[in-house]
Amino acid sequence: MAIRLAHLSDLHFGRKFDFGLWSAVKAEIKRFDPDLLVVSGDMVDEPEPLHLLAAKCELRSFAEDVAAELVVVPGNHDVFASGLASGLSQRQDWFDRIFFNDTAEAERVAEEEFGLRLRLDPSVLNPKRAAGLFKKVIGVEDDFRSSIPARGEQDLVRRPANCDVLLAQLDSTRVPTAALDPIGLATGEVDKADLAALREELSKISQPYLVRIAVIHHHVLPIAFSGGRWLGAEPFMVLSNAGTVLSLFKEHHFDLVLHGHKHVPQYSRIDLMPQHEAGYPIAVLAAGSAALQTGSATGNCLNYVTISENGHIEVEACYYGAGSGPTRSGGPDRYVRYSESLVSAKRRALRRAEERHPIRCRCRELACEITESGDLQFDLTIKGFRGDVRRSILREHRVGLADDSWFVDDRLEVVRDNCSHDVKLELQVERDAGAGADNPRKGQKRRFTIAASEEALRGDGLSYRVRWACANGTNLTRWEAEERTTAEDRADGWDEEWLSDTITHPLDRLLLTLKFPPSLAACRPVLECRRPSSYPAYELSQTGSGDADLRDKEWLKDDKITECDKDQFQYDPVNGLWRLDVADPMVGYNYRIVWKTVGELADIEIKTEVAQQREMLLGAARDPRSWPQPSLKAFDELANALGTVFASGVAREKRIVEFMVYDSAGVSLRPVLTRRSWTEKPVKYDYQVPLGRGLAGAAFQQRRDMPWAKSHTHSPFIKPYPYEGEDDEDRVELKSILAMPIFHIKQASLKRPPPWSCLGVVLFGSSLEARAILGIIQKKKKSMEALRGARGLAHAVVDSLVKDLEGHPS
Amino acid sequence: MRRIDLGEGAVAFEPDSAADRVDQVSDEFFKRYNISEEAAELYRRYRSAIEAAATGARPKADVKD
Repeated sequence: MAIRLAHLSDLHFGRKFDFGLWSAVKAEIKRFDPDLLVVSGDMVDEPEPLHLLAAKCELRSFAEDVAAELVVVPGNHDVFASGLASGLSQRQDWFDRIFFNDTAEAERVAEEEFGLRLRLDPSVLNPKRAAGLFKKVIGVEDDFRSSIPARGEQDLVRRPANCDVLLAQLDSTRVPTAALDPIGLATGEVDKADLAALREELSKISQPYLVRIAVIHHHVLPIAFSGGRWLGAEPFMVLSNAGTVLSLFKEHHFDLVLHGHKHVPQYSRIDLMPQHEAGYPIAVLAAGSAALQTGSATGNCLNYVTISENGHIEVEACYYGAGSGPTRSGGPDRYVRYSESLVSAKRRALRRAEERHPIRCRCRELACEITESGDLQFDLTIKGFRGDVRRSILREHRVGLADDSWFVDDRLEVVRDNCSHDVKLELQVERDAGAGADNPRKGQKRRFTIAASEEALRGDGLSYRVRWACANGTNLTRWEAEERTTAEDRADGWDEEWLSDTITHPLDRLLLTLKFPPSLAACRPVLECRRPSSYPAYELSQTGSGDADLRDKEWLKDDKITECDKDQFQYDPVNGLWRLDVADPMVGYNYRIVWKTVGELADIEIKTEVAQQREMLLGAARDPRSWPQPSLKAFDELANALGTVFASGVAREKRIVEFMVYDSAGVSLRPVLTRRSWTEKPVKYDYQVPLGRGLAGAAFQQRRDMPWAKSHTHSPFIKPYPYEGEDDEDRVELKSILAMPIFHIKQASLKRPPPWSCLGVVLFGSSLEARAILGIIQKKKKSMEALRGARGLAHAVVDSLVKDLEGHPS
Repeated sequence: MRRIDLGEGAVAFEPDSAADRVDQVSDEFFKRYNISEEAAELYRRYRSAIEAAATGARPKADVKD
């Protein structure tokens, strides 16, 4: 949830306090529903204890009413008579005693003895009149003053219970050394001892915060447009050690400074040393007076601050005054909205991450190429990986796979030429909680580690390059996405595919490239940035590598960071790939390139007919006696014909012809009819080939004829799917295969029919390297004629099987 | 037929011209490979069915009686 903060200042409860306006202010703040209510000083006009107690009770009650946490710091009027902090008057300690102590007894005395309502109420301004008898009041007032605790001290650092913010509360009302000269008037200073104590407290903090906010009464930056009358002019009201204070804010990465004092609203941002690693951008926000009578319809101002989950700060300034309360709308004289640059928010996030992580990296390049068969090939280059660690570390790389994908283990390699140091690579299988007996592939992951010595992490750091691949890693069509989900699974994005990379440590540059195969050229990917729901909280890896442990996180889209970085995601026409090139990516975030699967309108009549025909064929396979005799004869003719066309003619050759049908329930192909030349033994019809695997699975998925020969095809992605069988008679190694997808009769003449019109695959396999199949691979004319004839005949035979079964329901 | 290179020796083919259509297998193919008349007849019936599906006419195989 975003953090909402209402910022008020300079209420000046006293003779010129506008009670009606204050009611309107409270009503509007209540509508805003803040988490924090910040009042940056000058609650009262004069530091009268009764006024201060009334202000405390009012603000406390109001904060409770809006369920916000109250944050206050003193202003010069809270501690000096008439606010004159220049040696003309003694600093009084009533504010500290009242605001930072339990004042229950003082409240009781004031309410019971004075009969006062301890609120910002007119009666509090004149207690003598309220109490009636002057003599009595003197005595009661003594009682009241003596009931206030003697000492009070504000915490310098505070962590609100209801939001992920670190607050520094600074007292700027110390009499400035330089202002002992009366000319200083309402100048202020933060005590050196306070600054030292604050610095020490901040240096102990290791817990991550979304933002750090400092609250102070005096302005740390000059206020523009406020020359005004001579008393309000510089140098009479400045913070005498503003530079020292700002330096501390920069050093400890404060994101926002809230102040008041000059009754002039101002939003400014300072980007200290923007190109330097030690630099830090800070937003500085001044509020006007919340409820002082100004005589102007826009003389008062309060601020609303919204801090997004990613740390981005937005400010709304509401101007109001005589005759008009604040509203979150209106023209620029009434309502102004400021939004800081998201680049600043990102830079601050990077600096905060650097505080936590002992490692950082200059550049991370992840290139992914998708093949025509949906296989993914990755190439990861790490450049300038450095660490401030006193030992060797294990760098972990985790690779998550799609449910029906599999990791091609022998494709994992460190590219030695690119390694700046000798690195050691290890591969481990890792499964997450999603894996189960019903789907052992679900949620599968691989983890590989790179061992790097302490020495390698120094200087320019370690550089290395790793490649890996996974097969069948993406749905190629919307139909596939449909097949792999059930209607209940189809939440938003069910038909989307993505490539993502998670940023686990500070990184100067992220480069992601994605290359589609020609059949996915129409895809238009977009960038999506996601953050863990717990952001900015995450643990560092227990391996001590210095990386964030972001496993098993719930991820939420971050539209703002996506918007910020989306222009860095473009198509590179020269290289034919999509490229994301981001500086200072958000640590802890997942950068995801998302695309919708390619879909086309289905002919429902044909789609339904194909589904029925598949079911009929699979049913016949479950009960082989149900095959009509003509069907078996027709299939024998096909087996003989394919044997004639593709067989090598060598006596010892073993051949198989098999018709496999797609089974939607298992997203796989199942054999329905098989002929093996070396045995009459029936195959086990209960085995299945997952969609995309083996030659049959690939041919079906691609809707293309696929020849394969062991000596010629070395692809680890396209290779025979093993048939385990029962014995050696079953386990014949095939050295050449031709898989031909079979389509519905009305779609079979199309160049590349849609997947929903594909019934299954007819496969021919040989224990030898069939010359005709090698000829197809090499696109020899005669072999191509054989292929055309074979696929025509295969379609004809399957069509006859379907017609026979339709005439003979099983 | 169009040859699609899938890398590392893997290839696939898809129809590229009218001659590649499944209903364009010539009688010469059956003769050249000495494929049985039964298989050839199966194919002819299938080709007729495709033609019929395209024109809306009744397949020849159904009217041969």
